[in-house]
Amino acid sequence: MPVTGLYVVQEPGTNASTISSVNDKVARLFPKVIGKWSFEYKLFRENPEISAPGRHGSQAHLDQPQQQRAQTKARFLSQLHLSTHDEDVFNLVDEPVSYSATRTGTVSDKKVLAVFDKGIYSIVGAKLQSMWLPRQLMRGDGHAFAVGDMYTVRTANITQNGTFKFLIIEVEYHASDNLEDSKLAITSFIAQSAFPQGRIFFGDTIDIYAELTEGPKRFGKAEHALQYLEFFRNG
Amino acid sequence: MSSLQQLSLYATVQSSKIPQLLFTVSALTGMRPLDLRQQHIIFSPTISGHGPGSSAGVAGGPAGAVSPLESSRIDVSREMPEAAAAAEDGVGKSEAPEWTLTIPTIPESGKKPVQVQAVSKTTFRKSEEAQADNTSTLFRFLRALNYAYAYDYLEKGYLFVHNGIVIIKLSQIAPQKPLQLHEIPVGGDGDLAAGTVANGRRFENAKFVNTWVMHAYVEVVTGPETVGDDLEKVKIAIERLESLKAELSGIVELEIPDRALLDPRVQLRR
Repeated sequence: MPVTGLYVVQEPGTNASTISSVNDKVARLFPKVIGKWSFEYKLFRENPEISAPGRHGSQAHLDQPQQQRAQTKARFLSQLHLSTHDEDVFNLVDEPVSYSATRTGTVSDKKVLAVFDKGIYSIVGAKLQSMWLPRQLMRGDGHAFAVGDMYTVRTANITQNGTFKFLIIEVEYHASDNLEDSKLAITSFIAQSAFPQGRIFFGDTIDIYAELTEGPKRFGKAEHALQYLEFFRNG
Repeated sequence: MSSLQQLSLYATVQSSKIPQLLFTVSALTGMRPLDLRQQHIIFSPTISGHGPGSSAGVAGGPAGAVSPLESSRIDVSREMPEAAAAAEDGVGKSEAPEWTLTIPTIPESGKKPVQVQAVSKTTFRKSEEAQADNTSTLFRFLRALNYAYAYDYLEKGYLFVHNGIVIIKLSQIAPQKPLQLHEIPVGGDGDLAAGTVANGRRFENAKFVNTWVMHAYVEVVTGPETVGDDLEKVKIAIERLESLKAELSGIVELEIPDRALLDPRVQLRR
Protein backbone atom coordinates (compact mmCIF):
# COMPACT_ATOMS: atom_id res chain seq x y z
CA MET A 1 0.00 0.00 0.00
CA PRO A 2 1.12 3.63 -0.32
CA VAL A 3 3.30 4.99 2.47
CA THR A 4 1.80 7.30 5.06
CA GLY A 5 3.12 9.73 7.63
CA LEU A 6 1.19 10.91 10.67
CA TYR A 7 1.44 14.57 11.65
CA VAL A 8 0.07 15.44 15.08
CA VAL A 9 -0.75 18.98 16.20
CA GLN A 10 -1.05 19.29 19.98
CA GLU A 11 0.52 22.67 20.62
CA PRO A 12 -1.13 25.02 23.14
CA GLY A 13 -3.87 26.98 21.44
CA THR A 14 -4.93 24.10 19.22
CA ASN A 15 -8.67 23.54 19.48
CA ALA A 16 -11.54 21.87 17.69
CA SER A 17 -11.77 24.69 15.12
CA THR A 18 -8.07 24.57 14.14
CA ILE A 19 -9.01 21.83 11.70
CA SER A 20 -10.92 24.41 9.61
CA SER A 21 -7.75 26.41 8.93
CA VAL A 22 -5.89 23.18 8.11
CA ASN A 23 -8.63 22.13 5.69
CA ASP A 24 -8.43 25.64 4.14
CA LYS A 25 -4.72 25.13 3.56
CA VAL A 26 -5.42 21.76 1.92
CA ALA A 27 -8.15 23.44 -0.18
CA ARG A 28 -5.52 25.74 -1.70
CA LEU A 29 -3.96 22.64 -3.28
CA PHE A 30 -7.20 22.09 -5.29
CA PRO A 31 -7.96 18.67 -3.85
CA LYS A 32 -10.81 16.32 -4.63
CA VAL A 33 -12.89 15.55 -1.54
CA ILE A 34 -12.92 11.76 -1.04
CA GLY A 35 -15.26 11.69 1.94
CA LYS A 36 -15.34 11.06 5.66
CA TRP A 37 -13.00 8.78 7.54
CA SER A 38 -12.62 7.84 11.18
CA PHE A 39 -10.75 5.71 13.67
CA GLU A 40 -11.11 4.44 17.21
CA TYR A 41 -8.37 3.76 19.73
CA LYS A 42 -8.76 1.78 22.96
CA LEU A 43 -6.20 1.27 25.69
CA PHE A 44 -6.32 -1.50 28.31
CA ARG A 45 -4.06 -2.03 31.28
CA GLU A 46 -3.16 -5.41 32.72
CA ASN A 47 -5.06 -5.92 35.94
CA PRO A 48 -2.57 -5.05 38.72
CA GLU A 49 -4.05 -7.86 40.82
CA ILE A 50 -2.78 -10.50 38.42
CA SER A 51 0.47 -8.73 37.62
CA ALA A 52 1.34 -8.92 41.29
CA PRO A 53 4.85 -9.84 42.41
CA GLY A 54 5.88 -13.39 41.70
CA ARG A 55 3.23 -14.20 39.14
CA HIS A 56 5.63 -15.25 36.43
CA GLY A 57 7.47 -18.29 37.66
CA SER A 58 10.29 -17.62 35.24
CA GLN A 59 11.16 -14.39 37.05
CA ALA A 60 13.02 -16.49 39.55
CA HIS A 61 16.22 -16.23 37.54
CA LEU A 62 16.24 -12.42 37.73
CA ASP A 63 18.22 -10.72 40.45
CA GLN A 64 16.54 -8.36 42.92
CA PRO A 65 16.81 -5.02 41.03
CA GLN A 66 15.56 -6.74 37.88
CA GLN A 67 12.63 -8.22 39.76
CA GLN A 68 11.72 -4.82 41.15
CA ARG A 69 11.82 -3.31 37.66
CA ALA A 70 9.81 -6.22 36.29
CA GLN A 71 7.21 -5.84 39.00
CA THR A 72 6.73 -2.10 38.68
CA LYS A 73 6.34 -1.95 34.92
CA ALA A 74 2.70 -1.98 33.90
CA ARG A 75 1.74 -3.67 30.66
CA PHE A 76 -0.76 -2.24 28.20
CA LEU A 77 -2.85 -3.50 25.31
CA SER A 78 -3.92 -1.10 22.55
CA GLN A 79 -6.63 -1.66 19.98
CA LEU A 80 -6.95 0.44 16.85
CA HIS A 81 -9.58 0.41 14.14
CA LEU A 82 -9.12 2.56 11.05
CA SER A 83 -11.99 3.03 8.63
CA THR A 84 -9.42 2.78 5.83
CA HIS A 85 -8.92 -0.89 6.81
CA ASP A 86 -12.47 -1.51 7.88
CA GLU A 87 -12.21 -5.28 8.37
CA ASP A 88 -9.17 -5.16 10.64
CA VAL A 89 -8.57 -4.41 14.31
CA PHE A 90 -4.91 -3.86 15.19
CA ASN A 91 -3.83 -5.05 18.64
CA LEU A 92 -0.52 -4.07 20.19
CA VAL A 93 0.47 -5.61 23.51
CA ASP A 94 3.58 -5.31 25.67
CA GLU A 95 5.34 -8.62 26.08
CA PRO A 96 5.80 -9.81 29.66
CA VAL A 97 9.06 -8.55 31.07
CA SER A 98 10.07 -11.99 32.25
CA TYR A 99 10.02 -13.24 28.68
CA SER A 100 11.79 -10.32 27.06
CA ALA A 101 14.49 -10.03 29.70
CA THR A 102 17.65 -11.17 28.08
CA ARG A 103 20.30 -13.19 29.78
CA THR A 104 22.47 -10.10 30.12
CA GLY A 105 19.83 -8.53 32.32
CA THR A 106 18.60 -5.78 30.04
CA VAL A 107 14.85 -5.52 29.73
CA SER A 108 13.53 -4.79 26.27
CA ASP A 109 10.30 -2.99 25.39
CA LYS A 110 9.28 -5.56 22.83
CA LYS A 111 5.65 -5.63 21.74
CA VAL A 112 3.51 -7.92 19.62
CA LEU A 113 1.18 -6.65 16.92
CA ALA A 114 -1.68 -8.95 15.93
CA VAL A 115 -4.52 -8.24 13.50
CA PHE A 116 -7.99 -9.70 14.02
CA ASP A 117 -11.47 -9.05 12.71
CA LYS A 118 -13.95 -7.09 14.83
CA GLY A 119 -14.81 -10.16 16.92
CA ILE A 120 -11.71 -9.36 19.01
CA TYR A 121 -13.65 -6.50 20.61
CA SER A 122 -15.99 -8.88 22.40
CA ILE A 123 -13.12 -11.19 23.35
CA VAL A 124 -10.95 -8.50 24.94
CA GLY A 125 -13.79 -6.25 26.12
CA ALA A 126 -15.95 -8.98 27.65
CA LYS A 127 -14.12 -12.28 28.04
CA LEU A 128 -10.75 -10.92 29.11
CA GLN A 129 -12.15 -8.12 31.24
CA SER A 130 -10.83 -9.62 34.45
CA MET A 131 -7.28 -9.48 33.12
CA TRP A 132 -7.34 -6.31 30.97
CA LEU A 133 -9.00 -3.21 32.35
CA PRO A 134 -10.20 -0.42 30.02
CA ARG A 135 -8.27 2.82 30.53
CA GLN A 136 -8.81 5.08 27.56
CA LEU A 137 -11.04 5.48 24.52
CA MET A 138 -10.29 8.01 21.79
CA ARG A 139 -12.06 8.69 18.55
CA GLY A 140 -11.04 10.53 15.43
CA ASP A 141 -13.41 11.86 12.77
CA GLY A 142 -12.60 13.93 9.72
CA HIS A 143 -12.35 14.21 5.96
CA ALA A 144 -10.05 12.81 3.30
CA PHE A 145 -8.81 14.75 0.26
CA ALA A 146 -6.98 13.57 -2.87
CA VAL A 147 -4.27 16.07 -3.76
CA GLY A 148 -3.25 15.40 -7.35
CA ASP A 149 -2.27 11.83 -8.15
CA MET A 150 0.52 11.63 -5.63
CA TYR A 151 -0.98 12.45 -2.24
CA THR A 152 -4.03 11.79 -0.10
CA VAL A 153 -4.50 13.98 2.97
CA ARG A 154 -6.73 12.97 5.88
CA THR A 155 -7.46 15.39 8.68
CA ALA A 156 -9.31 14.61 11.91
CA ASN A 157 -9.99 15.92 15.38
CA ILE A 158 -9.26 13.42 18.13
CA THR A 159 -11.66 13.45 21.04
CA GLN A 160 -11.78 11.68 24.38
CA ASN A 161 -15.24 11.46 25.95
CA GLY A 162 -16.35 14.16 23.52
CA THR A 163 -13.55 16.56 24.55
CA PHE A 164 -11.07 17.76 21.92
CA LYS A 165 -7.53 16.46 22.51
CA PHE A 166 -5.43 16.71 19.32
CA LEU A 167 -5.55 17.37 15.63
CA ILE A 168 -3.99 14.88 13.25
CA ILE A 169 -3.09 15.08 9.58
CA GLU A 170 -2.25 11.89 7.74
CA VAL A 171 -0.34 12.29 4.48
CA GLU A 172 -0.37 9.33 2.11
CA TYR A 173 2.25 9.20 -0.62
CA HIS A 174 1.34 7.04 -3.62
CA ALA A 175 4.63 6.93 -5.50
CA SER A 176 6.31 4.26 -3.37
CA ASP A 177 5.66 1.38 -0.99
CA ASN A 178 8.98 1.81 0.81
CA LEU A 179 8.96 3.85 4.01
CA GLU A 180 12.54 5.11 3.91
CA ASP A 181 12.22 6.25 0.28
CA SER A 182 9.03 8.18 1.06
CA LYS A 183 9.93 9.97 4.27
CA LEU A 184 11.48 12.96 2.50
CA ALA A 185 8.52 13.42 0.14
CA ILE A 186 6.02 13.30 3.03
CA THR A 187 8.07 15.62 5.26
CA SER A 188 8.48 18.12 2.40
CA PHE A 189 4.77 18.04 1.62
CA ILE A 190 3.94 18.84 5.25
CA ALA A 191 6.51 21.65 5.38
CA GLN A 192 5.25 23.22 2.15
CA SER A 193 1.64 23.07 3.28
CA ALA A 194 2.44 25.35 6.26
CA PHE A 195 0.38 23.34 8.72
CA PRO A 196 0.48 24.43 12.40
CA GLN A 197 3.48 23.33 14.48
CA GLY A 198 3.39 19.59 15.12
CA ARG A 199 5.30 16.31 15.23
CA ILE A 200 5.58 13.60 12.62
CA PHE A 201 5.34 9.85 13.33
CA PHE A 202 6.48 7.14 10.91
CA GLY A 203 5.82 4.21 13.25
CA ASP A 204 9.34 2.84 13.00
CA THR A 205 10.46 3.33 16.59
CA ILE A 206 8.29 0.62 18.13
CA ASP A 207 10.17 -2.61 18.72
CA ILE A 208 7.72 -5.26 17.61
CA TYR A 209 8.15 -8.98 17.23
CA ALA A 210 8.26 -9.81 13.53
CA GLU A 211 8.43 -13.12 11.75
CA LEU A 212 11.04 -13.41 9.06
CA THR A 213 9.64 -12.59 5.65
CA GLU A 214 11.24 -13.03 2.28
CA GLY A 215 12.08 -10.15 0.00
CA PRO A 216 12.31 -6.41 0.67
CA LYS A 217 10.18 -4.92 3.44
CA ARG A 218 7.14 -3.20 1.97
CA PHE A 219 4.89 -0.75 3.70
CA GLY A 220 1.65 -2.47 4.65
CA LYS A 221 -1.44 -1.91 6.76
CA ALA A 222 0.42 -3.04 9.90
CA GLU A 223 3.05 -0.33 9.37
CA HIS A 224 0.23 2.14 8.77
CA ALA A 225 -1.45 1.24 12.06
CA LEU A 226 1.86 1.37 13.90
CA GLN A 227 2.14 5.10 13.19
CA TYR A 228 -1.02 5.72 15.20
CA LEU A 229 -0.03 3.26 17.91
CA GLU A 230 3.40 4.87 18.17
CA PHE A 231 1.82 8.25 18.74
CA PHE A 232 -0.78 7.08 21.24
CA ARG A 233 1.73 5.01 23.22
CA ASN A 234 4.76 7.28 23.11
CA GLY A 235 3.68 10.63 21.69
CA MET B 1 -21.67 -4.56 18.97
CA SER B 2 -23.25 -7.68 17.56
CA SER B 3 -23.06 -10.97 19.42
CA LEU B 4 -23.24 -14.56 18.36
CA GLN B 5 -25.57 -17.11 19.92
CA GLN B 6 -25.22 -20.77 19.17
CA LEU B 7 -28.34 -22.92 19.56
CA SER B 8 -27.45 -26.60 19.69
CA LEU B 9 -28.48 -30.19 20.15
CA TYR B 10 -26.02 -33.04 20.62
CA ALA B 11 -25.90 -36.81 20.35
CA THR B 12 -23.20 -39.42 20.70
CA VAL B 13 -22.94 -42.13 18.03
CA GLN B 14 -20.92 -45.33 17.98
CA SER B 15 -18.58 -45.88 15.02
CA SER B 16 -20.57 -48.88 13.80
CA LYS B 17 -23.62 -46.70 13.17
CA ILE B 18 -21.78 -44.04 11.16
CA PRO B 19 -22.22 -45.45 7.60
CA GLN B 20 -25.99 -45.74 8.09
CA LEU B 21 -26.21 -42.31 9.67
CA LEU B 22 -24.22 -40.68 6.89
CA PHE B 23 -26.56 -42.23 4.36
CA THR B 24 -29.63 -41.00 6.26
CA VAL B 25 -28.37 -37.47 6.82
CA SER B 26 -27.25 -37.22 3.17
CA ALA B 27 -30.76 -38.19 2.08
CA LEU B 28 -32.34 -35.80 4.57
CA THR B 29 -30.22 -32.81 3.59
CA GLY B 30 -29.93 -33.68 -0.08
CA MET B 31 -26.21 -33.14 -0.10
CA ARG B 32 -22.97 -35.05 0.01
CA PRO B 33 -21.03 -34.72 3.25
CA LEU B 34 -18.38 -32.04 3.33
CA ASP B 35 -15.07 -33.14 4.79
CA LEU B 36 -14.05 -31.62 8.09
CA ARG B 37 -10.47 -31.67 9.35
CA GLN B 38 -9.54 -29.26 12.11
CA GLN B 39 -6.75 -28.72 14.58
CA HIS B 40 -7.75 -27.31 17.97
CA ILE B 41 -5.27 -25.89 20.46
CA ILE B 42 -6.70 -24.89 23.83
CA PHE B 43 -5.11 -21.99 25.68
CA SER B 44 -5.68 -21.40 29.38
CA PRO B 45 -5.06 -18.25 31.38
CA THR B 46 -1.74 -18.46 33.16
CA ILE B 47 -2.39 -18.89 36.85
CA SER B 48 -1.51 -15.80 38.77
CA GLY B 49 -0.62 -15.19 42.36
CA HIS B 50 1.50 -17.74 44.08
CA GLY B 51 1.12 -20.54 41.63
CA PRO B 52 -0.76 -23.83 41.71
CA GLY B 53 -0.19 -25.96 44.76
CA SER B 54 0.66 -23.05 46.99
CA SER B 55 -1.53 -22.47 49.97
CA ALA B 56 -0.87 -18.73 49.99
CA GLY B 57 -3.93 -16.81 48.88
CA VAL B 58 -6.14 -19.85 49.05
CA ALA B 59 -6.23 -20.38 52.77
CA GLY B 60 -7.04 -17.65 55.20
CA GLY B 61 -10.80 -17.32 55.06
CA PRO B 62 -12.30 -13.84 54.96
CA ALA B 63 -9.11 -12.23 56.25
CA GLY B 64 -7.17 -13.83 53.41
CA ALA B 65 -9.35 -11.90 50.94
CA VAL B 66 -9.44 -14.51 48.21
CA SER B 67 -11.08 -12.93 45.20
CA PRO B 68 -11.00 -15.30 42.27
CA LEU B 69 -10.99 -13.59 38.89
CA GLU B 70 -13.10 -15.28 36.30
CA SER B 71 -11.65 -16.03 32.92
CA SER B 72 -12.15 -18.49 30.09
CA ARG B 73 -10.14 -20.88 28.02
CA ILE B 74 -9.64 -20.00 24.35
CA ASP B 75 -10.09 -22.56 21.58
CA VAL B 76 -7.66 -21.71 18.78
CA SER B 77 -8.52 -23.72 15.69
CA ARG B 78 -7.82 -23.95 12.00
CA GLU B 79 -8.80 -26.06 9.03
CA MET B 80 -6.27 -28.69 8.04
CA PRO B 81 -6.99 -29.59 4.40
CA GLU B 82 -5.67 -32.93 3.22
CA ALA B 83 -2.30 -32.66 1.54
CA ALA B 84 -3.63 -33.85 -1.83
CA ALA B 85 -6.66 -31.55 -1.72
CA ALA B 86 -4.48 -28.66 -0.66
CA ALA B 87 -2.24 -29.14 -3.65
CA GLU B 88 -5.23 -29.18 -6.02
CA ASP B 89 -6.71 -26.03 -4.55
CA GLY B 90 -3.38 -24.28 -4.60
CA VAL B 91 -3.47 -24.12 -0.84
CA GLY B 92 0.14 -24.48 0.10
CA LYS B 93 2.58 -22.68 2.23
CA SER B 94 1.64 -19.35 0.69
CA GLU B 95 -2.01 -19.75 1.72
CA ALA B 96 -1.88 -21.09 5.26
CA PRO B 97 -5.35 -21.59 6.79
CA GLU B 98 -6.49 -18.82 9.09
CA TRP B 99 -6.68 -19.38 12.84
CA THR B 100 -9.99 -18.73 14.59
CA LEU B 101 -10.22 -17.87 18.30
CA THR B 102 -13.40 -19.00 20.04
CA ILE B 103 -14.54 -18.40 23.61
CA PRO B 104 -17.91 -19.91 24.44
CA THR B 105 -19.76 -19.01 27.61
CA ILE B 106 -21.43 -21.48 29.92
CA PRO B 107 -24.73 -22.51 28.30
CA GLU B 108 -27.82 -20.70 29.54
CA SER B 109 -29.89 -22.46 32.12
CA GLY B 110 -33.63 -22.63 31.66
CA LYS B 111 -36.30 -24.68 30.00
CA LYS B 112 -35.55 -23.98 26.35
CA PRO B 113 -35.80 -27.12 24.17
CA VAL B 114 -32.31 -26.49 22.80
CA GLN B 115 -29.04 -25.44 24.36
CA VAL B 116 -28.33 -21.71 24.02
CA GLN B 117 -24.76 -20.54 24.34
CA ALA B 118 -23.20 -17.15 23.60
CA VAL B 119 -19.98 -17.47 21.64
CA SER B 120 -17.25 -14.90 21.03
CA LYS B 121 -15.30 -15.56 17.88
CA THR B 122 -12.59 -13.77 15.93
CA THR B 123 -10.31 -14.59 13.03
CA PHE B 124 -6.62 -13.90 13.15
CA ARG B 125 -5.74 -12.02 9.99
CA LYS B 126 -2.57 -11.63 8.06
CA SER B 127 -1.12 -8.17 8.43
CA GLU B 128 0.57 -8.34 5.06
CA GLU B 129 -0.45 -9.82 1.73
CA ALA B 130 2.89 -11.55 1.27
CA GLN B 131 2.95 -13.11 4.71
CA ALA B 132 2.89 -16.88 4.37
CA ASP B 133 2.34 -17.98 7.93
CA ASN B 134 2.18 -15.79 11.00
CA THR B 135 1.24 -18.45 13.53
CA SER B 136 4.10 -17.62 15.89
CA THR B 137 2.91 -13.99 16.07
CA LEU B 138 -0.51 -15.24 17.21
CA PHE B 139 0.97 -17.49 19.90
CA ARG B 140 3.25 -14.73 21.17
CA PHE B 141 0.25 -12.41 21.28
CA LEU B 142 -1.74 -14.93 23.32
CA ARG B 143 1.20 -15.37 25.69
CA ALA B 144 1.39 -11.61 26.14
CA LEU B 145 -2.35 -11.64 26.96
CA ASN B 146 -1.50 -14.13 29.75
CA TYR B 147 -2.58 -17.27 27.93
CA ALA B 148 -0.56 -20.45 27.60
CA TYR B 149 -0.94 -23.75 25.75
CA ALA B 150 -3.00 -26.23 27.78
CA TYR B 151 -3.85 -29.17 25.52
CA ASP B 152 -4.80 -29.93 21.95
CA TYR B 153 -6.74 -32.32 19.77
CA LEU B 154 -7.51 -33.07 16.16
CA GLU B 155 -11.06 -33.32 14.86
CA LYS B 156 -12.28 -34.97 11.69
CA GLY B 157 -15.67 -35.78 10.31
CA TYR B 158 -18.41 -34.44 8.08
CA LEU B 159 -20.59 -31.37 7.71
CA PHE B 160 -24.09 -31.02 6.35
CA VAL B 161 -26.50 -28.12 6.06
CA HIS B 162 -30.15 -28.79 6.79
CA ASN B 163 -33.08 -26.54 6.06
CA GLY B 164 -30.82 -23.67 5.05
CA ILE B 165 -29.55 -22.73 8.50
CA VAL B 166 -28.92 -25.85 10.59
CA ILE B 167 -25.35 -27.10 10.45
CA ILE B 168 -24.92 -30.77 11.27
CA LYS B 169 -21.44 -31.71 12.32
CA LEU B 170 -20.63 -35.37 12.72
CA SER B 171 -17.13 -35.73 14.04
CA GLN B 172 -14.69 -37.66 16.17
CA ILE B 173 -11.67 -36.32 17.95
CA ALA B 174 -8.13 -37.48 18.62
CA PRO B 175 -6.80 -36.08 21.90
CA GLN B 176 -3.07 -35.49 21.59
CA LYS B 177 -0.46 -36.51 24.10
CA PRO B 178 0.97 -33.67 26.16
CA LEU B 179 4.39 -32.50 25.05
CA GLN B 180 7.31 -34.35 26.56
CA LEU B 181 9.92 -32.33 28.35
CA HIS B 182 12.42 -32.66 25.50
CA GLU B 183 9.82 -31.32 23.04
CA ILE B 184 9.24 -28.04 24.88
CA PRO B 185 11.39 -25.27 23.43
CA VAL B 186 13.68 -23.65 25.97
CA GLY B 187 15.49 -20.37 25.65
CA GLY B 188 14.62 -19.55 22.04
CA ASP B 189 13.03 -16.14 21.72
CA GLY B 190 10.51 -17.15 19.08
CA ASP B 191 9.77 -20.77 19.97
CA LEU B 192 6.72 -21.69 22.00
CA ALA B 193 5.19 -25.01 23.04
CA ALA B 194 2.06 -24.17 21.02
CA GLY B 195 4.23 -23.65 17.94
CA THR B 196 5.69 -27.12 18.34
CA VAL B 197 2.16 -28.51 18.63
CA ALA B 198 0.81 -26.55 15.64
CA ASN B 199 3.50 -27.83 13.32
CA GLY B 200 3.99 -31.29 14.77
CA ARG B 201 0.54 -32.89 14.80
CA ARG B 202 -0.40 -35.21 11.92
CA PHE B 203 -3.82 -36.63 11.07
CA GLU B 204 -2.16 -39.70 9.56
CA ASN B 205 -0.72 -40.79 12.93
CA ALA B 206 -3.62 -39.68 15.12
CA LYS B 207 -5.69 -42.17 17.10
CA PHE B 208 -9.32 -41.13 16.96
CA VAL B 209 -11.74 -42.20 19.69
CA ASN B 210 -14.46 -44.66 18.79
CA THR B 211 -17.34 -42.44 19.76
CA TRP B 212 -18.59 -39.83 17.33
CA VAL B 213 -20.48 -36.70 18.28
CA MET B 214 -23.32 -35.26 16.28
CA HIS B 215 -23.65 -31.54 16.88
CA ALA B 216 -26.59 -29.83 15.19
CA TYR B 217 -26.47 -26.08 15.59
CA VAL B 218 -27.63 -22.73 14.32
CA GLU B 219 -25.54 -19.61 14.76
CA VAL B 220 -27.66 -16.52 15.29
CA VAL B 221 -26.04 -13.11 15.09
CA THR B 222 -27.94 -10.63 17.23
CA GLY B 223 -27.47 -6.99 18.08
CA PRO B 224 -28.15 -3.51 16.75
CA GLU B 225 -25.90 -3.90 13.68
CA THR B 226 -27.77 -6.93 12.39
CA VAL B 227 -30.89 -7.25 10.27
CA GLY B 228 -34.16 -8.68 11.57
CA ASP B 229 -35.88 -9.25 14.86
CA ASP B 230 -33.59 -11.10 17.29
CA LEU B 231 -36.36 -13.01 19.10
CA GLU B 232 -37.86 -14.08 15.79
CA LYS B 233 -34.48 -15.38 14.60
CA VAL B 234 -34.04 -17.44 17.77
CA LYS B 235 -37.59 -18.78 17.46
CA ILE B 236 -36.99 -19.91 13.88
CA ALA B 237 -33.68 -21.53 14.86
CA ILE B 238 -35.38 -23.49 17.66
CA GLU B 239 -38.13 -24.64 15.31
CA ARG B 240 -35.62 -25.88 12.72
CA LEU B 241 -33.59 -27.76 15.34
CA GLU B 242 -36.68 -29.38 16.80
CA SER B 243 -37.81 -30.40 13.35
CA LEU B 244 -34.42 -32.04 12.72
CA LYS B 245 -34.62 -33.81 16.08
CA ALA B 246 -38.01 -35.25 15.16
CA GLU B 247 -36.82 -36.37 11.73
CA LEU B 248 -33.78 -38.18 13.11
CA SER B 249 -35.62 -39.68 16.06
CA GLY B 250 -35.24 -43.46 16.14
CA ILE B 251 -31.87 -43.30 14.37
CA VAL B 252 -30.12 -40.89 16.67
CA GLU B 253 -31.54 -39.03 19.65
CA LEU B 254 -30.47 -35.40 19.72
CA GLU B 255 -30.56 -33.84 23.18
CA ILE B 256 -29.22 -31.13 25.46
CA PRO B 257 -26.03 -32.14 27.30
CA ASP B 258 -25.19 -31.26 30.89
CA ARG B 259 -24.33 -27.57 30.78
CA ALA B 260 -21.55 -27.94 33.34
CA LEU B 261 -19.62 -30.08 30.84
CA LEU B 262 -19.45 -27.16 28.45
CA ASP B 263 -18.33 -24.58 31.00
CA PRO B 264 -15.15 -22.97 29.64
CA ARG B 265 -14.45 -20.87 32.71
CA VAL B 266 -11.42 -21.09 34.91
CA GLN B 267 -10.77 -19.13 38.05
CA LEU B 268 -7.65 -17.13 38.62
CA ARG B 269 -6.58 -16.64 42.19
CA ARG B 270 -4.43 -13.81 43.31
